[in-house]
Amino acid sequence: MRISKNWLSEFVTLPKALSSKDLAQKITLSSFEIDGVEDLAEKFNGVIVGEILEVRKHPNADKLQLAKVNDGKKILDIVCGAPNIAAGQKVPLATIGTYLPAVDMTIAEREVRGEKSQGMLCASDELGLGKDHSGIIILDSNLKVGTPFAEAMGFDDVILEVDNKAVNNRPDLWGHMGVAREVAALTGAKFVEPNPGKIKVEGKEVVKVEMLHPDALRYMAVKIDGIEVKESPDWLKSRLAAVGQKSINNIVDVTNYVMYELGQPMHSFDADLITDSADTQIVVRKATEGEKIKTLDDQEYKLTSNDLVIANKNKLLAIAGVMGGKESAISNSTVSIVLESANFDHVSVRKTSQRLALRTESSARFEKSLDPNLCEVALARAVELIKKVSPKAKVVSAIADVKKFKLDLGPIKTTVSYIQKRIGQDIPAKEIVRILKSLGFGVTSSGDSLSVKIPTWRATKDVSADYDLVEEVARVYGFNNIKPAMPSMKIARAPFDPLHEILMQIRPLLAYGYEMNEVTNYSFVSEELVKKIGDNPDDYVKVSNPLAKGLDVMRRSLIPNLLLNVVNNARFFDSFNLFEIGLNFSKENGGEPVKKDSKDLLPQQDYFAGGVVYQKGNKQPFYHAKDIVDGLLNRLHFKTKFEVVENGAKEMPWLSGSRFLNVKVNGLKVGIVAEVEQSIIGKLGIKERVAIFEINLQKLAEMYTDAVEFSPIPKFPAIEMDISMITDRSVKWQSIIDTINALKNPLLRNIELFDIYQGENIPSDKKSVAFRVMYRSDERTLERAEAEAVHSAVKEQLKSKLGASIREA
Amino acid sequence: MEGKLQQIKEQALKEIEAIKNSEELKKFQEKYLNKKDGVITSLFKDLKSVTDDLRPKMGSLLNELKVGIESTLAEKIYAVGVTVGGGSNDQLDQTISQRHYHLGHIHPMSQFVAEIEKTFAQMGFWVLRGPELESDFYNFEALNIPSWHPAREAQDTFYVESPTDHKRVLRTHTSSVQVRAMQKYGAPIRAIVPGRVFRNEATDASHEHTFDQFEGFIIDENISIANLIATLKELVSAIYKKELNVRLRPGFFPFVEPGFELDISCNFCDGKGCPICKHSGWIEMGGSGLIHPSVLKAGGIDSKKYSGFAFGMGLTRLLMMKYGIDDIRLIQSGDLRFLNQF
Repeated sequence: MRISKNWLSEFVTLPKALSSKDLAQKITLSSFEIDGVEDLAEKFNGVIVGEILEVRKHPNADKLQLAKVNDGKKILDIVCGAPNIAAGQKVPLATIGTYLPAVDMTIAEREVRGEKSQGMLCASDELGLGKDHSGIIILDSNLKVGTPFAEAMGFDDVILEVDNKAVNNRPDLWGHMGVAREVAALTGAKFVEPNPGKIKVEGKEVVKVEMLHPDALRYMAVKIDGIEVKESPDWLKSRLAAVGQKSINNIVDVTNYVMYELGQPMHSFDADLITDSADTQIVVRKATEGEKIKTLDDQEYKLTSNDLVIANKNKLLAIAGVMGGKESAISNSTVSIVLESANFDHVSVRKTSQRLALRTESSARFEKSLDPNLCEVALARAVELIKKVSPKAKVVSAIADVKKFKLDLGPIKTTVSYIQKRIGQDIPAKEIVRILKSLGFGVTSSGDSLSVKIPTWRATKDVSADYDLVEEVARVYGFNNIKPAMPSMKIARAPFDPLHEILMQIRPLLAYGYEMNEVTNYSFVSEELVKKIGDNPDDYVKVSNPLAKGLDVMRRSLIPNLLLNVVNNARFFDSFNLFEIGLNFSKENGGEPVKKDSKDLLPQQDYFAGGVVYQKGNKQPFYHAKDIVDGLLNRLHFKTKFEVVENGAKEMPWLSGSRFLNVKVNGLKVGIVAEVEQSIIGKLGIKERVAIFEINLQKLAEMYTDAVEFSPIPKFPAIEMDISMITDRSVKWQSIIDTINALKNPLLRNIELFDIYQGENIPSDKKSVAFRVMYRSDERTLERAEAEAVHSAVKEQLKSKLGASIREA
Repeated sequence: MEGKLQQIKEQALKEIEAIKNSEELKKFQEKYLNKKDGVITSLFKDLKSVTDDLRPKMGSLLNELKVGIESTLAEKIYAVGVTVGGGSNDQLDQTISQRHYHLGHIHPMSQFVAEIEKTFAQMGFWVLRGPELESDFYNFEALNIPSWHPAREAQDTFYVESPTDHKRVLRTHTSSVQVRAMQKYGAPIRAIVPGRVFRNEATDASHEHTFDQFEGFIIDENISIANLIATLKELVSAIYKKELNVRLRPGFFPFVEPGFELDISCNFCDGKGCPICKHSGWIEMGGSGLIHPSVLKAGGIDSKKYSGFAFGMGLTRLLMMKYGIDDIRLIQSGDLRFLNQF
């Protein structure tokens, strides 16, 4: 939105000392943000009205002329190429030193073919006023010589630029009048209400209006005859140009003018195109399903029964509050119009314009919930202006006015002390009352009590309760005039959050303890990737309105996106380990309730830590991944067990079935360690084996403990003895440990693997395993013979239970 | 024999006296105390050939000699200093690095969030979390954003399928946790909620559909705008570790009344004006305001007794400003060339 300072000045006398920049700052700090200040006169700085005193031919050039030009102080010699200049003309003169941005040129005194030139006479294009270069602009001969060109032409305006979003909550600020009222309150200047006077009715015709749906709040209309449609006068055109509105013709321009001035969208129909009997009949109703209308933008729209329309008996005339119909539009041959000034429900207008993707200046305003009282003054103002631009016009119908709206104008009962308490500053009662009154509120006070009547233009949805008044007082008083004061609060311990503890510890452990890099990926995963890894997208929570392909479902696991990270980073790095911590979204509804105490639960969404290990030449990254998990969980004091699962996990078909472990804490599954299935790696174009892990941190948090069981430092030395043996290849290390531990001998303290060998000198279905067993007593120094006895028992156990053959040294 | 011992002693003490460095010290030790053929060792061996009646006396003299030499030597060792591994004259090139540790990296956003959490925790704020896939109620309705509000338009919000009539969204702000927290903990409360939020917006160098925010709020008796200003000034100064000023401008957020846009004095130029603050001296930090009474009500808090304020800031934007990151998409790119810098 563009706000013209000149236009504002018609409603408020701005203090002379207030610069445009200060005005913008004031509005920004107390009302709404001004994005920019554009001084329209700036590009004409240095250009003045000059008078040509004499013109003669250039002695050395056929196409050039020499002019003597009066700049108001002295007579200048100027060389000019334009053929249309003559003595006595007033012309725009760019004086020495002037920069003309339109042609990127700075005027300097120079010689042109031996004749000096002390300035430049300007054509339209040189001033950025058009493309015309055929001749110098000839100005009104009544202009005073030496007057700045911008002032002489009415270009001396300053535009305040506003992002529409900044006034979304203020329906009253969508026209210059409302902004002027606001500025008056902020500066203490006087606000002058527009006073277009009563409409003079000079005929007996009738405009019949029926509102058939409660979304129609008010409909005012008059019929005006004697219309002459023509080009708008300059003052009207330049005003519209200042706010960025194209000029169409005098009648349409007036309706637009009133909208920019008062904030009320207006519409004019060609009366002859909408009147079929003697009377003009207008119906405001909902469209029938599938009803069609061609609008002013030459588009045809198919409507639904939710769309509010303006119609007569036979046809649709307009989409209410959005855009007029093409068939009923005024044209150059129009001689009679029906002028509409109406109000429609903001939600209805918003929904229709949104569904049709038809956003107009009109819909933007109605969406904000305009004051229905505005219709009246706007209609009178439009009639006033139409008579000005089309002098033979006269109102030939009575003023139709149908209204069905209710505004809650209060009064709001509040107290001075409530407002002071919420602001945190004892602003005097007198000042509070003054501020509210300056904004148009009606205030009566008695002692501490205030009774505040809401002005109609703030009552549609903006102001309704005491807390709204706090804002009004505080912002006009000046937020930055409020003295900061610290709140005092009781000391209160935070609820203990074990998940937070784990999240705080896990990142540094993985990064600095296990040489992993943290990444963060989107919470989305693409359906395509889901399918590629052999999973079913139907098992995922779907996004109803995805932004783009590839962002269509919610991740169930951190791993698929991590695999894409592997693909991308493998182009630059040989080896890396990545991890991510974030929420996974389950299709199962085990999460928080959608409302307090509701049985409708959101999807389960737990924090997970996921990791990938990718190392050039590492044929068994699985061990690396497993060791990370083992070390990590031990460090977090969880008693961890790995469980072999034959054929992996069904819910993750993209993981290898034979390189897969469940991670268990206290007997509960908290995660997995696995290698990614070879075929999937191939499909993704990854060249090395990739191992992964994924741990549910929420489940870990439920078992969180910072308890560490202290064991006394051993007082007696241990004895270590090695075993080297041959077993079947299928015998897993865990079962060797379990077999030895099954002896439950109290002297057995530790078993540590140091070699597994398969290959030469070992039968192909066998492997050689070597490990060290540690024996120790807590009561005494162990005799070697004692340890050897247990060691023999261990060997026997391995022979009998696992069929191992022990290699004796 | 006695005389010989005395002579050896004198000689040894003289030699100890002359020791100047660990090299000479070692030579001495080798000569006298070597366990195979050191002078002292040999003397002990010679004891065998001494007659029985003389042996005790000689033995004790020999011991005395040994202890004497050793204790004098001990002083010398202390004076000279013992070196390990060949002394320090081996021309070490200190400019070489030998061990290349490949420590990992924590994502800059995680580091930043941890820092924010720590800063606020120090000032008594709890750190809370909530679901990212949120109900329409907590994300909108409870926050005074009725169904017709523009913020709900499909282009801003990601909706996800719901098996019930109640709509489900990817939370558009961390404010969704406000009412959950009020219902769970009541008042008074002071908490922050950092986390991931979603907006259905096309992505480019400065727009992302997924980014991080944090929300903070205080609810207690008689919380005022003056309290909000003082607290926010302290908080942003804590974040930037220097004294900053704050400035409020009117801003509209349905869940606060009054609502403010929060500016801080530019920490890059101390408010003097620079390209980062577009020469205004102020940087937009986020939104804030007194919590709307209907939001307190939705959270089950008596708005006659309690009032509160809330504020929200974009962590992603702050992070980009902090490090001068020029493309928001890098943050979730998973690109190690980016991540390894932090």
